[in-house]
Amino acid sequence: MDYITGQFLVNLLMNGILIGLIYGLMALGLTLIFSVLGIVSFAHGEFYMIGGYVVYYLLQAFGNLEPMIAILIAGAVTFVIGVIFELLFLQPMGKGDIERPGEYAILLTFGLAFFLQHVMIGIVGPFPTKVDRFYDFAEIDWGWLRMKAATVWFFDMPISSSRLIATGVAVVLTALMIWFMSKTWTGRGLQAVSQDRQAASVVGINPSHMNTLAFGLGTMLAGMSGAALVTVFAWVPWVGMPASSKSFIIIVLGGMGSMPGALLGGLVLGIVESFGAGLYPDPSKALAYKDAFGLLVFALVLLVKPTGFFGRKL
Amino acid sequence: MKRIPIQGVLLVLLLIFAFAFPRIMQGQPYWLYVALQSFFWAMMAASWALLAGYAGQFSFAHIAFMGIASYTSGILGRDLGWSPISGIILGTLMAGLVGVLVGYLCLRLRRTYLALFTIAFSEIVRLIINAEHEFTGGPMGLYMEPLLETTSYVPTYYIMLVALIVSLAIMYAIANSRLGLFLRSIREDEEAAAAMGVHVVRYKILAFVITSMIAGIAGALDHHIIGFIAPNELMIPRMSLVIAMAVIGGTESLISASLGAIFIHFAMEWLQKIPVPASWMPSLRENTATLQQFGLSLGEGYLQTNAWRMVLFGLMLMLTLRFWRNGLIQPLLEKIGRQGVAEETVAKRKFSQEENEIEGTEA
Amino acid sequence: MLEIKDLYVGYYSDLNIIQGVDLIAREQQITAILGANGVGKSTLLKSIYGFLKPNSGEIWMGDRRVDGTPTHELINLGISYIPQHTGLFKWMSVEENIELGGWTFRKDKDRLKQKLEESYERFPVLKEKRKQAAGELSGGQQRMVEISRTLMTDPKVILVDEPTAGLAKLLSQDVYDMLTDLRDNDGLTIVLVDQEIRSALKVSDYVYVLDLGHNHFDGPVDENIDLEEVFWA
Repeated sequence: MDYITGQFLVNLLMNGILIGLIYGLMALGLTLIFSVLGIVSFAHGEFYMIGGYVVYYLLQAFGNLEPMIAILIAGAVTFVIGVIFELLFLQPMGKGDIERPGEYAILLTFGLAFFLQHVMIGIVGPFPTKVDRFYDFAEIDWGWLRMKAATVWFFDMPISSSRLIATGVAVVLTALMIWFMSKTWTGRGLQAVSQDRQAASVVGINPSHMNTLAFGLGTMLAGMSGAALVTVFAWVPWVGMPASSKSFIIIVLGGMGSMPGALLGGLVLGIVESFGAGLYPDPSKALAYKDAFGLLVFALVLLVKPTGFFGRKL
Repeated sequence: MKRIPIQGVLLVLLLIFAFAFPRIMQGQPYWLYVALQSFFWAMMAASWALLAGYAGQFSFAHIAFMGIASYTSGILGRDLGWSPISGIILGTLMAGLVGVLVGYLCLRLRRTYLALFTIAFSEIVRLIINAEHEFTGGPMGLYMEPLLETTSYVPTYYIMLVALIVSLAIMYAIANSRLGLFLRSIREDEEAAAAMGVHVVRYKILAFVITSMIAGIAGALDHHIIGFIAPNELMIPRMSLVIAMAVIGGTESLISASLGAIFIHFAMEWLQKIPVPASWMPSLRENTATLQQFGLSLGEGYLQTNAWRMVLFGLMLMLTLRFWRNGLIQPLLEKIGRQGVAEETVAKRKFSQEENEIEGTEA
Repeated sequence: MLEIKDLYVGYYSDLNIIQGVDLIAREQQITAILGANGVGKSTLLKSIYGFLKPNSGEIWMGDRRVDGTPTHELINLGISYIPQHTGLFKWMSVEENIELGGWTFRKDKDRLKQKLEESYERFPVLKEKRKQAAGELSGGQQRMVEISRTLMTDPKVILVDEPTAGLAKLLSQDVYDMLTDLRDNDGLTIVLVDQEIRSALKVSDYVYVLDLGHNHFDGPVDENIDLEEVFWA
């Protein structure tokens, strides 16, 4: 175990934080959906997957398209799909036309996940695709900070530049989202519906519009995190499944429906995974177990304290 | 007037057909194989329907129990030389044991939380099987000793058919006993059920154990017939398929859920290669590239649909949930069953109406 | 102002809790709806406010028929509602809560600012606590936030459901004073559903007594009103 040095640990922590910030953005979408509609979308990861593919196809079709624009378009596409699905399938729940809405929502979003996954398998096939990094970094050597096209060394700790860009995008989008939710009228309207549906309709907010908007925004956030991460991971149509389970883990950790909780939960999961995989005694299995660490923490939290860190209501 | 129970007659006809199927399909072992596979799915879907539809426990770990039993049996056979029969028995018991554990852990969890927990459990099982390759064969899979020393599918067909019928009979007996009533009362209102003296803990765990064992035996039998299992078969989309089958059939009835599974499994086979009229072939052949872009490929006289048939079932699952909550097969069966009854009620109503009219004139 | 004609309401289409109630809330008066627990007082309010669809009957606001109007549109017709247990956005600040009362005219910044100032003039204590989360306030102050939020749109009629349920005696008096103040100084029409029969009769101008979903008694409130007679007539 002589490879475990202080620097190695700091490197694990840093990688954990970088990926955790992106997880946070993805989970923010799921928590928004839960807080307003009161359901967990089991198709969250599939929107993440679609977001990545939109960027892939856009960059293939228009080679010199600005990647940031591609990410925005991916957000728009996933937003529209989310809105259409909400209007067709979830809207009747609010009107009381559906018996046992809780079960309905679980099975329905599960069906949506299955559907979207196979649509993409149909279109792209089962083979992984890879998108080149969005930007090359300039070459710099300042001693503590060295940069090359694909890698940055921060105090001699290597970080992939694709990962850094993805995290940058996620941080900006998270900040925008926080601003939107707390400062704009629409954001406050969403918050109002999530806190007290009846009172929100008394002041004149149309709760079903907010449902649609929240679902669209939630799927958009998933789509944009996928769009940001498409350069980091190999993309396959079932890449959304681990993303879904990660989002579940995070919102349960952070407390279902809590936005700060989602961000914190994202960081915790990123760090747990990074350390779990880095410190597992058998390196040949470490990677295979990476996803299992988070799931284990998740199962324990569900059993011991299902309200998470910031839980407010079930 | 004596009523003939139409549903009963139908059931007997169905059974006769199922037992005669190998004779009908003589010389077509492929369809026999499809049929015996469909019985595996039917056992999965029906036991899930009992757990979810009757007991209201929306567990997504069903496919994991199937895997646990299969792997237990496979590993016992490989490392300790156990025969498939004893392996299957122990594997089934193992699934039941883990079912106790999961059922116990899930006691306090409802709906979404239960779903999330069981997905996590299922994924952990799959990831462990994937990672512990020295023991499980890892992603490359595990070879399992064939159930019978024969290449004919006829005996294995009957084994699966009998397994399906026996497990359906057991589940039917449970669903229509006091236990079934308790399970339903737990589903409708757990607190109220507990207040009325239903031992919620015991019955919830029991529901998990019974259904896990049925999933387990189905999986172990089936994979000994196939001779192979891989962790991919424990993936969530396979679980989705079980759910799609049960929902499209109808989760409130075991027969409907299993018929849904059989129907969908056959439909998936049929839809794999859609026959194309010979006159279309030239123009289709010209557009092979376009077809391929959309994940379709062209064979001699047929179009291969690949993933698109799954898309169809995903869509069907969503539409069934939205518009036909009782599934597609269950209402059909009910309608057939009611036909005899309906005529009677119509006659009765007419009679009582006349009676009322007479009373009306008197008053 | 607000008129109910032969209303039938229930949670199921064949089981009505309100069975043919008639009621008129006269302009600038407090109309009290009284009755024992479970006779359908709150159900009546909820159906006026669109949370429950009437199975039959009519609800009129002035010369406009309003039954079947979705809840979120009623505020535009000048009707507002204060639920039994406070309906505040607990995790938002006092100021955000009051501002949200102006959702329907959210683009009119000047009016928002002016109305917010009015609220703080009415309840100066809220100005001190404007940054605090509404859920952290005391019961009486929460009622103030709620009334301020309701008044943002200058409604003509407010429906108030048991405003003092769970409040201490002293605070209750404050709440009743607020209601009379709204009637006398702001010219509001108030429909008050209450369990506190004596206190409600003190502030109201006209009273309806319900019994098991039916009108039992109604009449103007004056000093000679005989409680015994009202309830056992």
